[in-house]
Amino acid sequence: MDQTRIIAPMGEATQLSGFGGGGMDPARTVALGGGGMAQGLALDVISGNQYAHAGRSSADHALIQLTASGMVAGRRSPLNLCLVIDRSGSMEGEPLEYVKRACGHVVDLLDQNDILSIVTFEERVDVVMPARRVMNKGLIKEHLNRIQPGNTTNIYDGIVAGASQVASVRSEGYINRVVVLTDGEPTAGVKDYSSIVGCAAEQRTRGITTTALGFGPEYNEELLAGLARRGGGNYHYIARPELIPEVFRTELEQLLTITAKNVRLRMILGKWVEARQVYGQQPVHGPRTVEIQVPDLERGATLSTLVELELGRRPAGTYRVARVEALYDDCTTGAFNQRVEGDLVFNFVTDPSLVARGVNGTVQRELEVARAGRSLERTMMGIKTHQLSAAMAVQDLQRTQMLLAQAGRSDEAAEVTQAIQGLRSGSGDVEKTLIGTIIDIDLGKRKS
Amino acid sequence: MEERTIVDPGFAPAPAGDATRVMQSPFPAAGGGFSDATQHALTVACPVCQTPNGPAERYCQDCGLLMGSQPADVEPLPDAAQLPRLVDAASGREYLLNPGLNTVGRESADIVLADPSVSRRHAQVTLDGGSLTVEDLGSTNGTFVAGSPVRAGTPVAAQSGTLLRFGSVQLSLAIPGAAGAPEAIDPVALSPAAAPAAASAAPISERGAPVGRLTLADGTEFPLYSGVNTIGRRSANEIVLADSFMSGKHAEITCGEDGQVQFVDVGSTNGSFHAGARLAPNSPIPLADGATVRMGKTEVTFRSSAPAASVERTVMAPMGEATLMGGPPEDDPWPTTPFDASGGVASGGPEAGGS
Repeated sequence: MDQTRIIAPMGEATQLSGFGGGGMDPARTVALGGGGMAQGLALDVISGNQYAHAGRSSADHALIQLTASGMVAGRRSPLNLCLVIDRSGSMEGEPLEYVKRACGHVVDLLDQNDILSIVTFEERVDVVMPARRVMNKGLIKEHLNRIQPGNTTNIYDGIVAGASQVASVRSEGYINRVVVLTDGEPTAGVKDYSSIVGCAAEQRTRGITTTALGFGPEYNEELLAGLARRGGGNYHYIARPELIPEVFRTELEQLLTITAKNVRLRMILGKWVEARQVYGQQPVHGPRTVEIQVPDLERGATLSTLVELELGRRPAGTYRVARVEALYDDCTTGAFNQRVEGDLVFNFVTDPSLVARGVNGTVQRELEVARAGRSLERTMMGIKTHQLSAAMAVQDLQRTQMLLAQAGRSDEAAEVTQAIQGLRSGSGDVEKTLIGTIIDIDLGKRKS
Repeated sequence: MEERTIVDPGFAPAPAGDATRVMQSPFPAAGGGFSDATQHALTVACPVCQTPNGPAERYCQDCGLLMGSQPADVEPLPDAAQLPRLVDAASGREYLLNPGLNTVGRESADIVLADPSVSRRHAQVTLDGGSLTVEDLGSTNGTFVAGSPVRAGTPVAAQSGTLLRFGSVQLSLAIPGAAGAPEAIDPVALSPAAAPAAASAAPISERGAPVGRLTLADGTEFPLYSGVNTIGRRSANEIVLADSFMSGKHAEITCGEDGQVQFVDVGSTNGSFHAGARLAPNSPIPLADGATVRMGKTEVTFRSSAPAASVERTVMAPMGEATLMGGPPEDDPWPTTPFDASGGVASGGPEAGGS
């Protein structure tokens, strides 16, 4: 049952020279169990440089990539999904109609192994459908059609109710998710950022992830971005009502193709090594360990995590500077706590010219993308605080757009282009789009 | 297949001392979880950090050295205590400057100053032989040497004691051994080890009969003679202990004519500990019979009675510099090669080799 697969560091880091005795190539790939078919998650650990300085302490990077197998193998994990829908006054008319339609699509895409619940909120919360197997689709849609617009917006109670619906069913082996859609600021109930986001963070520790969908120009994008980040789900900005069903479909598609959930990533650092930062994240540091949060991964997706390390000086030689371990539940086989490992290896040398030439291009590109993310954040803050004029913001964004395009991040580059157009036309949804781009960059998730 | 509970047990630290924890917990405790039972014949000591490793380990559990390889002989590196540094007077924090280029910035730099007034790529400090220059890399808030702004592209020389400013962060440059340098640098590095060397140059037979001894946990005994007995990692000492956490010159035990015995730490990197407290450098303490002192990872017990004649080990005689390979720096906590012919003191035959 244990499908342990050890993958040696890829790329130039595997070129090691100067070993006398001992015929074992330290950089080999070992695949144990599971035959030849790629299953579950693959882990690649790439050093930022083949070499490091033996004679001085220095900073370098590690790129950790988790790839969910693209093969269609076995079944999918059933969903335990709650749709939490804002029916405040501002949703009246087209928005609410499209939401009902979108929820109907979701019902169509699920089958009787899936569990669905639907909750609406305005000032109060209503349970339109309690957590049940999707058996009578017609009945569910009937209930959906009865949803009426209400008054104010109590996001907090909506999220709590959604999570409790999901938690009311024994959910091991399910993909447990709350999808929240809102068009406005919280105007009722608990309204502060840290309580609302904290609620989602707590749900995550119980295995329930939260996706935040923001509709229209009025919602608080910082709040929804925080919900998505700490909640472990996705963030989407929906500009117009007719786009609502498509976004729901995208979310469902991801849920239906998740191959690895409950992913726990950890670095165990060797002696004389410190982790200075994990880009885009607030990791949890233990004695010589760094724990990194990873969202559920759908088929074919790759998640990249970039870590900056301080490497202390030491006698020249090859060192495994850190071990990287990932545990996850495999949704295609139903197996829990599968494990995958990798080693981060550097060849410490005294010749600085070797270090100058040994830089890994892939890691460099990831670093540039991470910096682009920080640049976007600064631009966004500048726009919000009116310290940047639209013209200056456009300049910043153009530079960032080029950087992202050169680094091969075409989706993100396209989003920045969209933001530039938004700025030029004064359409006002720039921050809502950009914050999503920043999340994507920080999360490091891409379809391969 | 474990039943999942609300809090994932995978990250809970395993209880100490549980020999079977490596099998049960999905993530064994970091830092090497070898059980005591395997510590003897089956383990291989890492040539760099001396940690015992199981024979199947590809990398050292502690420092990660590729087992079975020999760390290459390194040309003598600058003594850490001799390296110039930037000192933050407010916090006391010191930033060592490496030979060559040192970038200064808010992130991803050799010297990271986490202050918002410091640019990501703020400045660079170049150490070339004895001279040091500062150059601004186009920072937002500027770089200043002794109050004068440094123009981007124009390196400015700086001397020991000069005040440098990066944004709002003020640091003073300290070059040990130069005029105006702070005195708190390792005194061992500054004063050539003339006195102890002279004492240790005298062969043992001229020292007279031993007046006491130091014993280690494994029973090894070292004779102590009247006068100064030097203790450290380098073979120039009278008592050589191959502990990579001991300094080249770590401490001295002086046996007075009146029978008084004193222990003094001569400014070691990792310190000497007695009765649970770290001893201040260059402050002698009296040693009574049975007193124990820990230096680096080695605990020694002082005995006021001389060892039996048969215990005296000639391996402890100073062998001279010839047995040192590559001459590691004085106070740097890197090990002398364990393949030193004086052998025997280090934990079991590392020559037995890796897997």
